[in-house]
Amino acid sequence: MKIAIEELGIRYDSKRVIDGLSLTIEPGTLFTLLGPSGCGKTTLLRAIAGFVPVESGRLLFGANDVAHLPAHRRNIGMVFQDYALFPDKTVFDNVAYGLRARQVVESAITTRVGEALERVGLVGLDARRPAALSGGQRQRVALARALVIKPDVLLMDEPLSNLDAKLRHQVRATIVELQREARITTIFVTHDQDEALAMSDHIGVMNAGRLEQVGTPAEIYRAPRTGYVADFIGAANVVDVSLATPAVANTAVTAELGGRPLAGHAPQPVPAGAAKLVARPEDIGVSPAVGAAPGAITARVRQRQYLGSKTSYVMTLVGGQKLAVDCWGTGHDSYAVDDEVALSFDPAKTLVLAS
Amino acid sequence: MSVDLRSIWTWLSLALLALLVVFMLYPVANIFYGSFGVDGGKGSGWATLIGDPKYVRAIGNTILLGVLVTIAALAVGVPLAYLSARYDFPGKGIVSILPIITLVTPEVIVAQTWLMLLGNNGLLRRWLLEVGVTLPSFYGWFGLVAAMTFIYYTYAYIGTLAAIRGFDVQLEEAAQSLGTSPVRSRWKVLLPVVLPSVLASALLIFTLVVGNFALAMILGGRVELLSVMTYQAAVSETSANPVLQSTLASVSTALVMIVLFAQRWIVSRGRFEVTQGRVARPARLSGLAAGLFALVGGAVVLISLMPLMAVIAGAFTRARGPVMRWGEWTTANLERVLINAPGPMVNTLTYAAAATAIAIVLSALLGYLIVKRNNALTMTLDYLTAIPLALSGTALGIGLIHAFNGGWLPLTGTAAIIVLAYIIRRLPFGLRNASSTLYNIPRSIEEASVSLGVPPGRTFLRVVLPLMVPALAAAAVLTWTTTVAELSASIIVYSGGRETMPIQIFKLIDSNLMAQASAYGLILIAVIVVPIVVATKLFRVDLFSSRS
Repeated sequence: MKIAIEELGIRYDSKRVIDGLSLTIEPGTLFTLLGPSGCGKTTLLRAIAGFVPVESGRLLFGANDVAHLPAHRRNIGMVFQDYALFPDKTVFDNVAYGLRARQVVESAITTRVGEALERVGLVGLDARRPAALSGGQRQRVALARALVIKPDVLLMDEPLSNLDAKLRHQVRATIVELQREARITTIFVTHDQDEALAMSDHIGVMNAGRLEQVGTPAEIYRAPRTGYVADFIGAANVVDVSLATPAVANTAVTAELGGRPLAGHAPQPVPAGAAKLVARPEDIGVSPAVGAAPGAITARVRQRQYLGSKTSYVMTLVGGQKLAVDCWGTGHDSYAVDDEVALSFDPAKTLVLAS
Repeated sequence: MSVDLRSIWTWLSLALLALLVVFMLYPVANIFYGSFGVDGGKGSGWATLIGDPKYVRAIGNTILLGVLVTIAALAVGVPLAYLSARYDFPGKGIVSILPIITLVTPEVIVAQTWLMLLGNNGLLRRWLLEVGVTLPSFYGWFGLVAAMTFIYYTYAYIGTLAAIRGFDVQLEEAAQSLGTSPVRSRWKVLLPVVLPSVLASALLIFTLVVGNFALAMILGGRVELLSVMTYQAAVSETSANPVLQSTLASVSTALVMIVLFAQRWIVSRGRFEVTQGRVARPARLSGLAAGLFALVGGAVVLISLMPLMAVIAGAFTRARGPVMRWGEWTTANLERVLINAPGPMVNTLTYAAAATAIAIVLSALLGYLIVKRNNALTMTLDYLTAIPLALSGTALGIGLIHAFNGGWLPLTGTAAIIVLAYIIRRLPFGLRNASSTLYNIPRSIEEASVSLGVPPGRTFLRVVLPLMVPALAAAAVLTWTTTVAELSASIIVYSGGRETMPIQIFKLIDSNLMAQASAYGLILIAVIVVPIVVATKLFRVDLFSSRS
């Protein structure tokens, strides 16, 4: 089912937290709302679920505007951060709950609950109560309970944040697999950028109640449209630069960093003057300063973390600005603290944005 | 969250609000309003009150009694709590059943048994007289302070115990590591943390003394007390004086309200965040100290158990009129109570059952709305349900008869007004018990149910209510045990033929028929104890989970 949000306004505690937000989510895709805590992503999700009243705008599931429909009539499946399993009910009864509410006959319930539990990999635990399950198992029960009712929309509110790192990867895989298999339109809320990049068809990065950018994981990572997005996704360097002449969208530009010219790419128009330069740590090349071309940007190694497959450095530019640089491949650990180095930037991967 | 007119909770809140306004706020407003009425051409009730030294003395005596009993109860309860929290000594297990003992013993029975033992013709008094010891009269200050102390020290005990148990010994150790001696560090670190709880229980005890009716009435003798005068103004047939009743009830309500506000202020200020660290392990005592502690604990327990033992003995002792033939055993008293005059028993059971059932439904709904549906409307409900805390039973009784005596809703003379009095008196406590678990039920559980297609109302019944059952069971047991023993409000609103057991006991004490009073007392205690035992042993209900 396609979800279309049109000019949505949400008031919470007499404060407008979301104002005129629009978004379209294609049927059968997994859409992630990504942002720091307090950015409004959970409020938006809860409004879509029907737990937060919508003040203005439309919320379309397919062709139906559900903005003012009570939550229990929206046919959604929801997975909560704290699992929200019914503690007094068994695993079977938890999963059967939504089917019983829909007055499905008991024999069909047995089959469907069995299938759902099998799909999430929880066979033989039907009679257990939630207290007797591990965190990962609880989250799988919650997933089975949300999916068994064949909802039009699956909503997930930070479902992995209470799990440890290893379990998180397992449950992440289960979610993606089930979502692809059922082709169910899913909205996933998280503050974890790795999770967002790994799982989503599309990501919407939220900031202060607005969507900063919507795109595929690669677009968001490779072509962040604002410094905020670049900073939030991946450990990007966002550095102050200046531009002598305004840049047109999608053109090569030359910015000035610490008095040296630097070639980059402007995905959008950038006015002349102060601008932001975005470069990923892994996209910056390092070579010894001795023998570097004249006019190259030089820096001094300040910190060095040897991480096995790579070495992470913190470099200081002449102007005092700091840059994180990751070196891969042979000799990635060959620079020491206080070494003088020359940095090289790939013009295609070095973005210049309006500040 | 704002008030949503489409939500069923809004409509439920409004319905409950209407109920509370009519049956709770209206009677209370009536008391205050009535006190400004004109009293037989002499000005308002307040003018009469101030003009008559008798009433001024009564207010002074009531406050003095409150202070004396509070100090005495703290002197017994706080050390006892400290001993049982920090030390192991022989018989400590028995000390821990103290709260149950006071819970099961109705005050009217406590008063009666003290009289049987130490009254003018009391058993103990006569024994002591034979060995040459003459006790002062038990009627008056001596009896009042002694009897009340040995009931109310439990509140000091429970409150202090919880605070000491919750105290992190690492703080004490930290103080010692910083160079203070063990005694000094205990004094410096433990005391400030425990003090708010001690003060809070002190104020609670004070309000209970001010509102106390049974002991004040039966043991007060010639001491003029507010609750006794209020009662007498309410029931006196020669000069039924509604204005004065209202004024006296207003005074005691105002007194309690001031103290309650002070208590709330202290509790809110004293709420240190003691992060649960390590709880002190009780030190095992032996030798002289152990013997001494056991003796103190044992003496307190013995005195607390005396009413129970006396009522059992009294119920089976032959009596001719007011004369108890101690040592001659009989079942005649019980037979008479059970077969010839079962009315009070039947009334008690019927009214208490009705009150408990209604109070539990109200507690469940109100608790849910106040905790889970927080808005301006439910906040009003929260404030309204606290009203009975400030009302003594006597004041409530007067408010009810004035509000529902004829007029648009005549309830005076019906059983309904007794049930109503029971419900109102117990509602704040039932509510607190019922809502204790609600704080632990996350909002997401309800939302999960709603998201699965179950509307909010049915979600409450299917998901929340089952999780509330243990708390509601505890609330039901505690409501039952306290309503069957209720005296001060019901004695004002009851009418002939609707006597409950406590009322009947009160009347029998007045006629000095102690054997029959004991027989009713024994049945009353059985009616209280049996549900507690069944609930705690058979159904494993945790009665005090919400108190600590």
